[in-house]
Parts: sequence; C-alpha cells; structure tokens
Amino acid sequence: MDKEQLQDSVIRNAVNAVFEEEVRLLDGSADDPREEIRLTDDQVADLCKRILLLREDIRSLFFSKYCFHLDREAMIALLDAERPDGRLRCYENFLSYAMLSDDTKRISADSFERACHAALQRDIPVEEPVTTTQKKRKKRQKRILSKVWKSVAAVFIVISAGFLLAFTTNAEFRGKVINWYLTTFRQNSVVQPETDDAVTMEHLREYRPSYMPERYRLVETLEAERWIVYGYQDDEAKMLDITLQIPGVISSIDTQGLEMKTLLFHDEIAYLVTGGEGYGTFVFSVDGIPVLIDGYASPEEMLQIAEGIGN
Amino acid sequence: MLLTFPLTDDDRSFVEELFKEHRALFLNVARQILDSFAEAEDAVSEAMIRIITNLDKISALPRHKIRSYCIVIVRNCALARFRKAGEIPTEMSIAVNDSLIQPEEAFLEQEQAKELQDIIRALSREERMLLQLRYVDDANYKEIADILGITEETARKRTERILRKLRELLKKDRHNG
Repeated sequence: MDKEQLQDSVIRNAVNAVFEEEVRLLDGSADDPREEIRLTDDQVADLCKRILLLREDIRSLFFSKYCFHLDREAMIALLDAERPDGRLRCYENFLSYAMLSDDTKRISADSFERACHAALQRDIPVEEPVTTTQKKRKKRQKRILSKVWKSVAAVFIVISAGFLLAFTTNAEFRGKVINWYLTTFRQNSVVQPETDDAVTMEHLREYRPSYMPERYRLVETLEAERWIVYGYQDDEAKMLDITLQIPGVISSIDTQGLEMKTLLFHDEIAYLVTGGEGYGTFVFSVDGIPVLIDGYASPEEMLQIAEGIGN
Repeated sequence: MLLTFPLTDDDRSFVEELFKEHRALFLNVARQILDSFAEAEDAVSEAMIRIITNLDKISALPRHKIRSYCIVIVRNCALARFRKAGEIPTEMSIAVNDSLIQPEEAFLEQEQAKELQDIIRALSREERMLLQLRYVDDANYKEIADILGITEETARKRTERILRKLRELLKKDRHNG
C-alpha cells in the first residue's frame, strides 16, 4: 500500500470517528428547536430523489420512521440499527442543509413523510397486479391468438448456459429443488428458476405431459438448446403450451391485468396467473425441472396437466 | 426453523403465510445484493428470525404495509451480510494491531488521528458533508453531486481540495514526528 493510500485510510478513520461522535450526540438529544420548513411538491420530489441516493441502511431508517412509524426499539430489533435516532437526525440535518442551505432551518416532518412514501414506492418491488380495461384484455387475447408457435418461444430469453454438467440418472435426479426468482413489472413478470443441480436436455425429454384435456391436440413440438415446448391447439384455435426448461433460463410472463398467486405444488413454490378470461399461466417445477403451462385452461385443468408431467 | 419459536397458533399461521406468500420475493431481494443462493437464503432466514422474535412490532403495522417492511428487513439483513463478507481491515487498524509497531509510533499515530479529527470538526458543514458522503457512505462523485445538488465537477474539486488540506497536515506531522 502506497503512502497516499495509507493517508487515505487514516483520513477515512478520522471522518468515521467524527461522524459516529455526531450520531452519539444527536441520539439522545432533545427535540430540534430549529424552524420547520414545509417543502413544495417539487421540493418533495427532489427530496425523494436524494433519499433514494442514500445508503440502503439509511433509507431503511427513513422508511421505518416516516412510512411505518416504528419507534427506536423496533428499529434496533428489526434492523439491527445502532443509535437509529441519532443516525436519522444526522441525515435529516444533512438533507435539510443540502436543500435549504440554512443551518437555522430544517425540513418539516410531514415533508420527509411525503418524500419517504414516494421513495418507498419506487424502492420496493411492486407485486400487486395492475388492472386494465376489458378492451385492453380483448386486444391482448387477440394478440395471443394470432401468435405463431415459434413466436411463443421468443419470450424465453436465454441468459446463461449454466448447469451443462454431465448427465445423471433419473433416479438421482428426482427430489431436486428449484429456487424461483420473481420480479414483477407493470406489464409482465420475469421468473428465473435456478438450482445448484445438473439438468440436461435428456432430463427434459423424459418429462412429457401425460394428461391433456380432450379438446386439445398436440400440433407441434419445438426443441431448442435449453427448452422444449409442446404446443397444443383446440378446434377454436385456442392454444396451450407446455414448456420444460433448463434452470437459468429466464421467462417473461404477461401478467398485466391478471392476478398472480404464489402457492405450493408438491411442497415447492409455484405461481398461478389467472383472470385472463380463461387464459392463464402456471409456473412450477417437477423433480427440479422448471415447467410453464401457458394458455387457455382453467386452474383445475392446469393442475391436472401439471400432475401428469413425467408420469 | 419456524416451529422452534414459542408462538401462538395465530402467530404461527401469520408467519407461515407471510413466508409462503413472499418467500420468492424475499429471496429475490436478497439475491440482488448477495452473490449466492445460500447467502440469500441465510439472509432471508435471518430476517424471518428477526420478524418472528419481534412479531408484536410487525403485526402492529397495517396489513398492506407488512410486506413492504419485511422487504426492508430482508434487504437490511442481506446488506449486513454483504458488508461483513467484504470487510477488509483498514490500514489504521492493521497498524495499531501490529505487534511490530513501536509504542512511541503508536502514540504518535493516535495523536495524529486526534488532531485530524479536530480539524475535521472545524471544517464547514458543507465540507464535512462531502467527507461524510465520500468516506462514511462510500458515495462516488456523481452520487455526492446529486445528493448535495451541485455538479459532479464541483463535488470532485471541493472534495479534493479538503483532502489536499488534510494530507498536507499528515505530511507535516510525519516530518515533525
């Protein structure tokens, strides 16, 4: 380590010591007598942006106080925060000075509250479904119907090769578990199944669907490098796909205006998307293989189809 | 894990429901911070233990706010694990703990640290804010600029000016020592 780095380290320690000293002083201090300033809407939006730029543990303290109204003890217990009041006061003073440029004034509690609510909305993942109009739903269904089988496959974005390990026997393979990583956006949800276990295309080929509602007939089987799609169609040209994939492949599911439920399927996490006038998606795993059923089927039918995969 | 805590039936079903419903989301949040599944799972478990042992505080929140706050807790646990994993002893602590260091030298370093702290205390509020963002929060110049509402160039120049001042002092002390 050169001289400058050493000096930098000494300065860092000194800055941290002075900061912790300030936190200690503010932690037990009385109410702040400075004049409170209520911010305008634009200023609140600006404060929200600045709060979002703070370190995550500091943001957590702001949210705890202004969005969840938790007290000091709760913050210590739930966030393992040391001197949370002092730390918060320190950053409140900091932001007040940064925005008001006046040491005798401070941002009002209600302004912090408004800014924190806005920041929390942007900071915490949104999971609730977004409702859309009937018209949009119909348009969406039309779009789905007009899809050709190959375009269905386009929603599977191959992110990583992953897990291309040696073939293991089916007996060894049974009982493997999958971790799902789900991120919900306004129009769609992205699911990423991952496992530490080896899954190969040979495994996928062994898990064909054995049950299908009578109205459906198999019209196409598509096989790519990391997934297999079984495409079914009924007499009204309604479609249903069953996709088996190698973990690591990310799938995008259309969830706009639909309801997504998390449930347990054979003791593993699964997701059921319903509400699309007969159209839905069921995402689950069978013996460590991620499977997506996507199309026109009731939740009961989807569960029956799921039960039949690999049997 | 969930059953090892003395919970009432209502509490247990509340925790189980919370965990079943949001496990994937919690893992996803932790995974965004941590590198491995195992680490993410540990962070989620730690968060769940905190939630279970402080159930009275959590269940007092309005129903619609519980999930959001649990995410805050999960993220906090993940972040603590991340920081702990990346913790590197600072040069100062190495120097102080080093058995090879002479007592006079250690004394001089402590004196120097005290003097440095006095100078930092005497800086203007804005100057201290710059140092705090740079050294306590590890923010880059763009982030410092956005938080303080100044340009990136200004943030860089002002910080460098203060640091130059502090380094000069350290240099002077070394020569004197």
